[in-house]
Amino acid sequence: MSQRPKSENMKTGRRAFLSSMGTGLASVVWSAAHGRQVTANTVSHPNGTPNFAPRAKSVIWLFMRGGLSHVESFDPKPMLTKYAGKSINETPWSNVQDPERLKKVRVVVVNDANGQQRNVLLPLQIGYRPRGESGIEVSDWFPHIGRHIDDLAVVRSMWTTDDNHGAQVQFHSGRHMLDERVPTIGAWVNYGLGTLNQNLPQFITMGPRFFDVRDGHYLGPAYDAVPLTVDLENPLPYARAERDRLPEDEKVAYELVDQLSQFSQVQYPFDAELDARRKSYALAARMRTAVPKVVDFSAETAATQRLYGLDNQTTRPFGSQLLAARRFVERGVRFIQIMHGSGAAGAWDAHTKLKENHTKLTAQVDRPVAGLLTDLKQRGLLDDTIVVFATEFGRTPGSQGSEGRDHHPYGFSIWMAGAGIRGGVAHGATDEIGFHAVESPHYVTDVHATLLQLLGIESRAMEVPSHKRLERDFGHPIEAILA
Amino acid sequence: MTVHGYHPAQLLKTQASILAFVCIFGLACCGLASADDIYFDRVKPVLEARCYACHGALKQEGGLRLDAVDFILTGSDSGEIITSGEPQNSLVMERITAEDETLRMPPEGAALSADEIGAVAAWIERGLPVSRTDTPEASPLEHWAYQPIKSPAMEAVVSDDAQPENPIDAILAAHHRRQNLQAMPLVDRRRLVRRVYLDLLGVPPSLSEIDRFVVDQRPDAYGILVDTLLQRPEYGQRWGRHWMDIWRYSDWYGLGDQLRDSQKHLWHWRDWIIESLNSDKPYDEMIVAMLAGDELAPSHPQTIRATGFLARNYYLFNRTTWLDNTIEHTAKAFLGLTLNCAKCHDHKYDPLTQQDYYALRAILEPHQVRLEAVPGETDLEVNSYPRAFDAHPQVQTYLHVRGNEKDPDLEHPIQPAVPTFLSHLPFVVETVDLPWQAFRPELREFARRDHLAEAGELLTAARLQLNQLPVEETQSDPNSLKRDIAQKRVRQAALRLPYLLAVYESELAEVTFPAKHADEMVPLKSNAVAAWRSYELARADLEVTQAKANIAEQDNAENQQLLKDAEQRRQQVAEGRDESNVNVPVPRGSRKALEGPAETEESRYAAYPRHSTGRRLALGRWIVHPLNPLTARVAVNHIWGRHFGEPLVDPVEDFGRRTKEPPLSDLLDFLASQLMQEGWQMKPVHRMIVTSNAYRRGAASRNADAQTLREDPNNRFHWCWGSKRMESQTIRDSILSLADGLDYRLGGPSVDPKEQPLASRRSLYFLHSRDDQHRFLNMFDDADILRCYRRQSSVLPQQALTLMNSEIPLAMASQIADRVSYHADVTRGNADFVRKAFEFILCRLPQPQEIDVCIRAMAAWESNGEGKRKSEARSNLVHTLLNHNDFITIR
Repeated sequence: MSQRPKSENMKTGRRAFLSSMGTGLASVVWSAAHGRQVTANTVSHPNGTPNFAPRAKSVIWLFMRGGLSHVESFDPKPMLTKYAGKSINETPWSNVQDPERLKKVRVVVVNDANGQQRNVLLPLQIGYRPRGESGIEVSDWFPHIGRHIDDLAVVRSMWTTDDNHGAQVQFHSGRHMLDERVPTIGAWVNYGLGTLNQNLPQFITMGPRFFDVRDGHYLGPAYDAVPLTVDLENPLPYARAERDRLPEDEKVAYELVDQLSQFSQVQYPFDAELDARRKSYALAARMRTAVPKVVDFSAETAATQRLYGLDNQTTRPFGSQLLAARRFVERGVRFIQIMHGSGAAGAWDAHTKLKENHTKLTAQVDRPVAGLLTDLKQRGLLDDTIVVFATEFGRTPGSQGSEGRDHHPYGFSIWMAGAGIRGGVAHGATDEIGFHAVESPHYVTDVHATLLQLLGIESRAMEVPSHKRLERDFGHPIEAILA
Repeated sequence: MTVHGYHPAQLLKTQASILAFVCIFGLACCGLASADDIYFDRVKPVLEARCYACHGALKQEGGLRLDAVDFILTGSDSGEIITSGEPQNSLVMERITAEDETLRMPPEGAALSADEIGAVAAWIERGLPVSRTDTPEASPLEHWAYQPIKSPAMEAVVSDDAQPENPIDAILAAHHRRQNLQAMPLVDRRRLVRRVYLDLLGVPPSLSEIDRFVVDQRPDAYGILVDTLLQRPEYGQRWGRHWMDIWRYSDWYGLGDQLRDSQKHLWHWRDWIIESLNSDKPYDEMIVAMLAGDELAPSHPQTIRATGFLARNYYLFNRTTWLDNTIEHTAKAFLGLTLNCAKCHDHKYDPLTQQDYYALRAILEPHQVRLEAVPGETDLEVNSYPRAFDAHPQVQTYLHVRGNEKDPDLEHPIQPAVPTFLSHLPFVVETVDLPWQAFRPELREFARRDHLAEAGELLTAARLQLNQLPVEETQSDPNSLKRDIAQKRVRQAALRLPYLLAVYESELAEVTFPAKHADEMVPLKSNAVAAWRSYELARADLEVTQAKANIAEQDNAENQQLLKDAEQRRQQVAEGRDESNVNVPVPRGSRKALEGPAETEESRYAAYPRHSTGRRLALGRWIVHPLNPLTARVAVNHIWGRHFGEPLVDPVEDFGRRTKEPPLSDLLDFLASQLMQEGWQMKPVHRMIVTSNAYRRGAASRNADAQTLREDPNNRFHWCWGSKRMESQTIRDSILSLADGLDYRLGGPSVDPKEQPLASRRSLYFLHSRDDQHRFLNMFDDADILRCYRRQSSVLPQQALTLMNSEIPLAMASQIADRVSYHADVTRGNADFVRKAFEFILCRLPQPQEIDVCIRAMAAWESNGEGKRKSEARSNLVHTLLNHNDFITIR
């Protein structure tokens, strides 16, 4: 065994060996994704430590699937009510439909139901009021989140280029659906930093996914989010045997696998993959017990559970995921991605009866999200956790069908809060009918760049040979909202 | 020295910053690196990485080359770029330190680091010292992979276990001798039989197959075994999956019913791949068929299935994306060229221009895809096969300026051509005159027969329905309308047969008779028109009656309108006069895929051209030309890589200048010429590889030679077997096969995801698309449908959970245990069970200490829980061995 250190070299032709780097990186152990031997000219795989001093350790990423109306949430537009029923051409903002200005969006599906210009303005379907010290206006659908406004940085000038729900993938990866699939922001964070906890999956997703169920893409399955459910019985894929099996039998099995692996290691001391597999079984065994403990809320006080709305049927499903997210953050998981709104397109897709739709859905998320913010703050976790609240696009100022709004990629809102984020900021602006992002517009990857900056990751250092990243993939940090 | 576009103040600032660099880095460097080495150690590598692409052998932007000192001193079109000893007065320093990004070099990517700039500054400062002769980059055309393939001269083999007749070993032995490497001895027979079964068939041997081989005393027992395996149909399934990876097999996907990517029934192409491999169809023929089967054999659907390769790239929303994919993956899969890098600008490393990119697009530009009927099925949605055909021979190709499809260079239409640097090989485009079977597929014999049979069945069904209605006479009879409808349905069905017969006769005559017999056509045509009109009238009549029945049921405006429409249609049919101009419809036998979301149904059914441009056929023949330096090399590299887990050239899809000549390029060339000598048949190459000693060596064990390990730790010279993990399909198939639960049937539609959990078919038959991936398979790095030139091989805790807890291994373990028990002498206790289980599942004999711990574990399992637990203990042991690294590893 004196040659042990050599063993890593045996296979490094295409593989990076992570587990023995002593950086606290979890699990994974090898992945052929990282290509070639590291030479002076190729980019090396990140070693799991930040590139520069981080402001934040973790991200809780909340995503409203289907398209939350920006004008009825965080970017209220009274002019829509004033000019309700008028065609855009009859308002002072007729130039918003200048074909040149509409060009940046790539239309995917042309049909009556989706992605059309909607000309007749629909009045605001809900009231709004100034909140907090900052007096930033938030709609009455978000009274609880509104109370935290002085901790939030609202970005009212997001834009994207997909006029259909492929924009969900785009918001996460930065690429339009017509282009190739590339790793998502969660995968990059995972790739750059790994986890701080050896016993838990590195990157977690909860709730309904978008079309594309993968995150890692060319980084490999090691960087796909592990789908979890808040289910004590079976929170993790294959956490429990799919057939009846005695727990004590299972224990013997894990022990025997390990013993047999040890014998093999004597025989093949240079086989690093064998060593990695042995470790992966040990980690699997720990994960199997650690994950259910995280989604077991019995140690949480009734008050905490209430905070997340676990006492109420409407708020419980999302609230449980958020509470689990806090517990994962406490245990060092870097990126927890929670999707809200089921269905192929996503539940927020209010082409008709927006009022009914958003009343119902905001009731599911408002209180739990506010609870999460309160809880993170009172535990001091907000000091190193970033909460992102986002959606793939906004909704048209003009009306569609019976009091609905269509997809609107030209201008929409998101907010962020927590570590390194200035509170009480409304950054950027759309025009007065909420059509175009006119002041400090931000493409979706600016959100990614902001997160990576706060997490201490040099985005440009993360490039995998033969997978060129485009300039737009990197984005620019939204400096104005940084504390 | 003048600097264009610089404001004096800016210039000053630049000079100041250069000075700063010189002070901080330049001087500091002097202490670190000896001056003589600065250029070779610190400057040249930066130039090579960041500058050569535009200022080297491939290109000389601005007349500047930086790939050798002489060139650097010569400078650019605008004069010298360096003033020796004066970095602050050197243009190159200004450009690399410019704050204005439009002036800064390099123009793409991050600016040079302070360290890199400092090195350049220090080198200039010290007066440009160079320690030895500086050689410029070789001409791009001298790149190793672009040279003709030469079979190397063989050296005599000198090694103990030598098989002098296998040239692979001869070549490797020479390398080992030169490198002083000590090869591992050959592996034992049990491990060998498992290795070769898994490799050639994708499933492990059965116990009796193991035993038979272990005791086979014939001198060439192994060679005989290999021959047998290569004849088995499982070979095509196993290697078919490999090539499906490379050729990006994916079933269709979209949103709901809307097809967006790939094509329905693409499995016909998959079956063609497997059949071709099993019949050892030459690889060159396969390539030509995949690119141009429709031009090669226009009336032979069996061959045209191969064009599924093109159909797979179908993309509803954007033709450019579609063709980009086709171009990229045609070039990568067959030629190892990253032509995709030349979409927006000339290639940065390889002699491929943007013009070359669009010239290849012009070859593909005319083609579209369509579904075409297969015998026995008239509904294309139920079954049909996707294929390519030239739909628009006239359409022009334009270069997209900077790759922007919205900015085509309309002034200069691009002609179809192959990449210029390989254009000395013949690329001859000849228009292909298509037989009528190709442009009138609906008239093919089987299509006519199927539609006539269907009409006959409709008639029978209509009669049966009529007969089942009770006979009633009165007007008030509630069934009278029903009877009326049923009668009219019979009438319509009865008239469909003569209509079909007449129209088939007339249309066939038209496509098969020369035009000069036009007169003879007239009666056939009028017959057809008359028969069709009678049929149409009966149909319109039926519709009117049906509309009346609807009103009887519910009298509303909508139904009244339907009646009005039906009556109007009947009127039109009845009044039809101009019989000579009527185009009698023929039931369709194919359907073109939408060329975009906006295409109308009508244009999809436009007549097909009677000619194909022949461009794709010319492309295919150019690719497989024996003097093409890339095709055979790329192919054998894939084959070698799949046998050994490591290819000779990595990455397998880029044989361009960025990929250095591999250490075993002589072996690569030998195999490539061997493939061509064998008439591009792959089985002889497989045979030569798997019967080599290189393939039969043991893995590096603790007995491996220490010196060898130090010299070649990555086994680049194949002195040992490099263990590799099974691919996802092989894991599942092997587990099922051990349990005798694997269905080896060949071919057919992909297994629907809903049926997959209980399905016993081989994994490659599972529906596999972006949206539908098998959970178990996905966990083990299943093929990425977008690009999979090599499988990844990760080791994840989730994989451990999958093997420990998922249904497949758990369910199969007890069945495998039963099979092991059958062969084991269980009266002798668990020891014999353990031994047999190792032999069967891991194909090796257990070591004594392994038997001990297994027996102890079985005792623990037996005592856990209640009652007799012998069978649980056995299943548990089997299940544990399925979780052993030696199971999913091919040792």
